[in-house]
Amino acid sequence: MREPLKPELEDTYDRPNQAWMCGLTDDGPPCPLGPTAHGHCSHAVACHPVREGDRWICNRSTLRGGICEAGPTPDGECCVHYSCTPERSLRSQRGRFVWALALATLGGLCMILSSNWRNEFLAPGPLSVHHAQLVTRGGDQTQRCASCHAAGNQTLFQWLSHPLEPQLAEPTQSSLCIECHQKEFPAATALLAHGIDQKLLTTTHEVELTSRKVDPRGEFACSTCHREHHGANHDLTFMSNTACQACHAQQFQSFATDHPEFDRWPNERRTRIAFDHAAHQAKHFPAEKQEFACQMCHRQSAEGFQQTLGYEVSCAKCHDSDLETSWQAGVPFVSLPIIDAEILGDAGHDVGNWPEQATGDFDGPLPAITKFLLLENPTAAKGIQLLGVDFDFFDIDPDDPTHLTAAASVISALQKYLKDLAAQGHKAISIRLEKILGRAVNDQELAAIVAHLPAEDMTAMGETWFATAESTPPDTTANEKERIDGGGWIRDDQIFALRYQPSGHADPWLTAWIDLLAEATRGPHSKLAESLLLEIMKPTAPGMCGSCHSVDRNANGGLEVYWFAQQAPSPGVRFTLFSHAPHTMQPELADCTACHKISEAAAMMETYQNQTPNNFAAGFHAMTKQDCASCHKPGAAGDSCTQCHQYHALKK
Amino acid sequence: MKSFASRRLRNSTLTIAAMAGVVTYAWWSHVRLGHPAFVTGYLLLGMLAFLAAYNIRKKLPIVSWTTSAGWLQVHIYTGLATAAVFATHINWRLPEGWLEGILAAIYTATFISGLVGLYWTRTVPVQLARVSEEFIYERIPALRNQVRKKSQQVVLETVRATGRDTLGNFYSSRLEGYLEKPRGWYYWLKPSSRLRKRLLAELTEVTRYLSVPEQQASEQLFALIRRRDDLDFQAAMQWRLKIWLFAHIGLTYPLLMLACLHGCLAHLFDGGLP
Repeated sequence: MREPLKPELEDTYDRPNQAWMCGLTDDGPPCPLGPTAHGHCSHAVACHPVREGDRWICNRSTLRGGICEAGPTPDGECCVHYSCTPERSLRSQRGRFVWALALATLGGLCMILSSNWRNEFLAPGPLSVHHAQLVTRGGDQTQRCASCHAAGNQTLFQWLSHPLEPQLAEPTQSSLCIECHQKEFPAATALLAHGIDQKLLTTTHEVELTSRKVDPRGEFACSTCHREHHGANHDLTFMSNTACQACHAQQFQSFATDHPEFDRWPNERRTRIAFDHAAHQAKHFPAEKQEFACQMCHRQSAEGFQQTLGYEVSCAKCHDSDLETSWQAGVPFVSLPIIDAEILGDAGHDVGNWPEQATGDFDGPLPAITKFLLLENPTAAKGIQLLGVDFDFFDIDPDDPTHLTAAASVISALQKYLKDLAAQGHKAISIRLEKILGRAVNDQELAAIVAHLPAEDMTAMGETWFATAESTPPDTTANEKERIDGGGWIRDDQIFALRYQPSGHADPWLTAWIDLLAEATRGPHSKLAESLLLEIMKPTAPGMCGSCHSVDRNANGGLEVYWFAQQAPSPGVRFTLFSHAPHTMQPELADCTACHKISEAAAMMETYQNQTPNNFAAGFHAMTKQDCASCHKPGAAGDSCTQCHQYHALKK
Repeated sequence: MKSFASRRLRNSTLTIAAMAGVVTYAWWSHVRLGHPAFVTGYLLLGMLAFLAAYNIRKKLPIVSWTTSAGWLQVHIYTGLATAAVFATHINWRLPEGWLEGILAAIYTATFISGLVGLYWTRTVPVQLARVSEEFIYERIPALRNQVRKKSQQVVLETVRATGRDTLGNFYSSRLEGYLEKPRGWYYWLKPSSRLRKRLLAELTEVTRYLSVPEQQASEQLFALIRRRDDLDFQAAMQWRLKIWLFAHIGLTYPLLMLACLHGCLAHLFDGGLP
């Protein structure tokens, strides 16, 4: 066997993968046995002396230096003892370090998860200020995670039980969101696309699922778009264009290139107040030597919505005289027609006691309000329907029995109405309205529609007119009109009529009756009420209400009278938002006509002759996308979807 | 060499393709209002577990798959790929919570320690090969002692033989401390031959005052100083090769534990539907 050149060093067999190393390694040759597995010194000796006769002979291997000079002790023990404090190998030190770190981590986690600092430690980041201020209220801060997460106040054991008990995950985060936000978003549709009913969504969107990345018919968790724990100033409402285009089939690269033209926006329907800007600019204002300036009639609300100033500010100066002329004779409330009692009697219709002065050939109209109240009587309603809502007694054919029957039914109902007025007073009106409308009339409504109708007038109509038929009633209307400038009643006992004198524009009595008529267009007498409403809303009717106030057919088939211009965004589904405020700040846009150019050729007033608000001719030229795209582009005013569109389209 | 280059090109291409695939998937899921963080999170956790299994593979060679070198290659490229998965998982923004911040910091430290280890294992052996001979790390202390004893012996014998103490004085004043004490911490971080050069220069200066026997002894001291410096250099550089694993492996298990906790919490606190 070849021996090493440096036996004192090279005979060792290093085992760095073992946990312990001999402590003598640094100073020289290590112990040949090495430490035990548990790191104890084996206290080896260099050799085991051999006895030859009475002598002990050293038999140390030449690999360890050969026979030593000192030799064995007299009792045969080796004189070279290896004794050391074993040292851990680097590998073992690394293993212990790794274990120590792992255990320290585990211990640290256990301590933190069972401490009050658990929530702070687990939170993935600070909440936005809107949520942070809510959940940090109150004394028990340890429960605040539970405001949004069911697991927030659960124990570690409950966490581990989640796979076995799915109910532990309830309520879900979206449910907790809605719990607080149900005022803004109806719970039933909050998680649906755009927060609106799917049927409504499909009517406004063409659903082509094949070309969409996400099926918009499903529900979406709030956290799909609203990502919390991104810091106090994180914009929770931010929505990227990518998110919009996940559902929308039509893909947009930019507003300027891909967005469709506005079509009729913002004039998606006619204005509620019929106002011909072109005619006023070109004709009426110059005639009155008035400057036609937008600011005279419009102002900007704090929210940036353009509002229209009221009649008194914008219109009264020129139009008050027209109104006064229109109701010069008052608005008829009740009037007795002239009837041919003899013919009616011959036809078997006894009309009873009818004033002599109101007897003769059939003649005279019934006021629309009277007709409206007579609809309460089914026989009279049939009679009115037969004769036509706008009938005049002059139209009664004395030779037509059906006409006579219908006329008799109307006259009978009118007599009863007037007698009830005399006997019951205002209650006679409210009872009839309740039957017509199918609901109770409240005190405020009743006060508006009777407008303090005096008891003496009601008595006169129900009793005096009929009781003193042979005598000549005194003329009481000579000065009466001058005495009721603030609005009131004029009774004319000579022609048996009661009229209301409106106090001015927006007279509460007149508007109340018009609103009731409009309401009745949704009731059982819808057709008759509709005709009566349109009659009272004719531009030539007293008050000329229909000249400016549009009558629109609403979604449930009834008619609706718009008294006011739109002063704020309408509640309901609204996808597009526009605020004038940031636009009118630009010098070139400060003038309204920069965007809104009057269309002089448009026959916009003609469109108010029908009741379809969406079928109209706009008084302004349509706006083009290019008007906006010059500023709304990347790097300038921006062209993200949510600058003009809102995801949560339903506004209460 | 050609096969090494082609292997590196192949592995790099595969890694970059996989990273691009993950980023593309995240974008694909994001534009569909999905939560790619769950998929990338599970992918990252799986990759970390696989990377940690390399240590187990070394301990349990019986369950080995391919060679250790093969494992190392897969380990390196998988480790590099985790960077893209991690960045995609955190959506390219720094975490703000304590747990997630610590988790990200541990991941980053583990990743960087791996990069440092990769760099050292590629550069240190080349530097070690430039030194006179190879030394086993565990034997270096003994060899240092041997150098110290030998130099002491040489000086004592010379002093005894010549009766002059010039070399002895120089040894006790300049060399004894150098040979007895270990090098300072700065040398372990950045080994340099500056001290060796200075000592050799000083010894050269002293040589002209030495007698012939002393000059012969000084020649031995020259060799012993160089050997000691070589040993120190080897010790420092080999220490580098070993010490980075303390950080790399030491951080691996806390990283896995925190990642598992983070994953569980992500499911527990998920903002789901009713």
